[in-house]
Amino acid sequence: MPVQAPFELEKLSNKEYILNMGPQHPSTHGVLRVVLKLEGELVKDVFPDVGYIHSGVEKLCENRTYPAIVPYLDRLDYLGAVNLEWAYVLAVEKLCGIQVPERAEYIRVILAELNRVMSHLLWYSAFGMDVGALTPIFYAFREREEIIALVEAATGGRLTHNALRIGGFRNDLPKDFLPGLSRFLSSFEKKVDEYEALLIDNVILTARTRGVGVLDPELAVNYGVTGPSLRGSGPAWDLRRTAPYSVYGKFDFRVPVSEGRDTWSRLKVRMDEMRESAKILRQAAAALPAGEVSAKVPRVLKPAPGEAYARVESPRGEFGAWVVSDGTERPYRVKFRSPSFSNLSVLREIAVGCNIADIIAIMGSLDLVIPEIDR
Amino acid sequence: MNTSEILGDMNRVPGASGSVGPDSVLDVLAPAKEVPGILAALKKSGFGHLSFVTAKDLPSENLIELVYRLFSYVSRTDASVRTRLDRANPSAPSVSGIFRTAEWHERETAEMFGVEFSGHPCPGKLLLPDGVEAPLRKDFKHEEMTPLPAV
Amino acid sequence: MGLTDGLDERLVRKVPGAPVVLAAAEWAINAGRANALWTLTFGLRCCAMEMMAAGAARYDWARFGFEVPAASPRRADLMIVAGTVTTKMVPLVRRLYAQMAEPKYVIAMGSCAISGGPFAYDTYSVVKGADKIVPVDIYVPGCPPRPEALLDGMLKLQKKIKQSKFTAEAA
Repeated sequence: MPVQAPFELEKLSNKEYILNMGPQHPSTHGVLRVVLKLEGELVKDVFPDVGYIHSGVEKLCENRTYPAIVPYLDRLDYLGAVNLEWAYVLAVEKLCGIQVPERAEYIRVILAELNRVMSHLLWYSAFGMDVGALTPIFYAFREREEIIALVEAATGGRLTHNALRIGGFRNDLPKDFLPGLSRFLSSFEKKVDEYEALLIDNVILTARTRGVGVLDPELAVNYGVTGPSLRGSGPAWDLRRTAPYSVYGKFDFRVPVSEGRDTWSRLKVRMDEMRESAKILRQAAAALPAGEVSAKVPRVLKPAPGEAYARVESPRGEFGAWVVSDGTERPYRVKFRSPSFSNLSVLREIAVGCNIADIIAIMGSLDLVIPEIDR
Repeated sequence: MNTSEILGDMNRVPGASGSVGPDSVLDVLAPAKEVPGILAALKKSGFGHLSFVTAKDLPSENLIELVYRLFSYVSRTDASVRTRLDRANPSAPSVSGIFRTAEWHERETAEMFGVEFSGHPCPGKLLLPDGVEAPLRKDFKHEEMTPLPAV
Repeated sequence: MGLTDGLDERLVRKVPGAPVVLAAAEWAINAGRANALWTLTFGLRCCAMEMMAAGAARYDWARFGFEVPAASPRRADLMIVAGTVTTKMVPLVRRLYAQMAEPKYVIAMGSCAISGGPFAYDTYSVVKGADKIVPVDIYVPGCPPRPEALLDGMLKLQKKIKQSKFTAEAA
């Protein structure tokens, strides 16, 4: 039975009613069920119900060897896949004391930033569809296909890349990867400007999203919100800058923030992030050192007993992997801290008092991916 | 407040013991009833972000260890607060009054390990379907779970 | 007879009594159904992204007739189960399938929908295949399948529909 929303049905006034949204819904971006208490079109209360794609990943990881867990990370947040794999691989490398060669670090940055751009492009398309704009998806997917071609040549997968290995990579980048990347980057920033003018600066969208879903920064931090959803409210917290992992400390890029606190600010932050990612990609491609792409890692990996937590800045916020090892070849406990889990928990605070169409815009601006909430 | 001052405060809490690990993670092991006080003190000293609340099942020692992971964007360091609960009847006070994000994390830990969080504003299942209780415990069995075939 | 002389072989079927131009209706109905399938947007997990890519500009399923992704099951003909079906989701999948009007078809896209996929072992909440819940017509393997693979599956479904029969063949 689905969980009952804690709305007391006897206490509903004669104007209020309960509406169920999802779990099959074109705008919930996965299987999310949101129960709304409405008075006409005004939202009085929101109750998100998750768990419809819960696949017990943390339990099954206890019966897999350390390298075999990497593909599961792809399936948690398929849009920011490389970033998620990176968090897990960092945690295991911390446990084993493996030092990754510098070339591998730079390639990881390149693939992760490409993933970030892919994720934001898909967010842009999906958000457009949610609010009723059906054209952005065709433009954004055109860019996405170009990036997918690059990443597929490097990793073998269009969506679930399984790119990273503990210690580096299995194969080096293909020879035509860097020329392809610079070809893509030569026209990308102009396209982002075009896409921003098409959707974000559109008069109707601005009217629909300005002042809607205002998220107070202290409340956001209290609810554990991270990523662009937090940066749209002011705090410039980006793990690539505040707690740089890998070689992110060597790149010159801005952390996009907005003081607007509303839905529109969160949209603007994501568009700016695409531009910053393009900057990082240029710098990483130019500074890519020669060398090995993988450290020497034993064939059967048995880390020393202990625990390690590694966090990365995924396109949605802080994704972390907490790995507990008991000295055998399978982990004792694996916990994935997903950003959408905390980002969704703040929905109740910001959605009450708006119209039902605004709920869609707010959920779209939080950029949720449900499988990483449910794992 | 710097780390040694915070460590001093932690060690003054009855039953708690704190240390700084090699990766500069401030680790505090405390009895369950002291945890809300410790988290409130850490929050005041700059650890404003609670990353997650989860648990680890230790059937050999008959314990369930709860783990709270905090991060300070000010000092850019982590803190890990741990508490050990009796496996037969694990119960801990809820910290959702201090960190609102703990509401959902505690709900998930409660259903995955069978832990009871007293004072939780809206307990109840979050992720699990009906008929599945405490799956992350090491002795969990379910008819649907086909083990991975050996290679 | 004079009326049916010169008509294509496909269109005329002889049944005892008189040549009945029933087969023309069969061909026309099947063609109509196959060439205008409306898909129910039922993306559950990663396969939904490849389903969206199959609908977007480069792979474009609209040229085969799948123009309208119907969000409501009442208007949809084709349910593409794209992703993992979990125990909590089972009554809802059944309800959606029941709400679709006949004739309805199901494509199981991706290994999760075919057999549970990477979540088939050591999980307590995953149904090992959508065909345990709803009858499936076409299975599209992959994790996730490429958009071209999904298009191939959809075209095979069109071929399957065009072979449906309404008449019992005379012995």
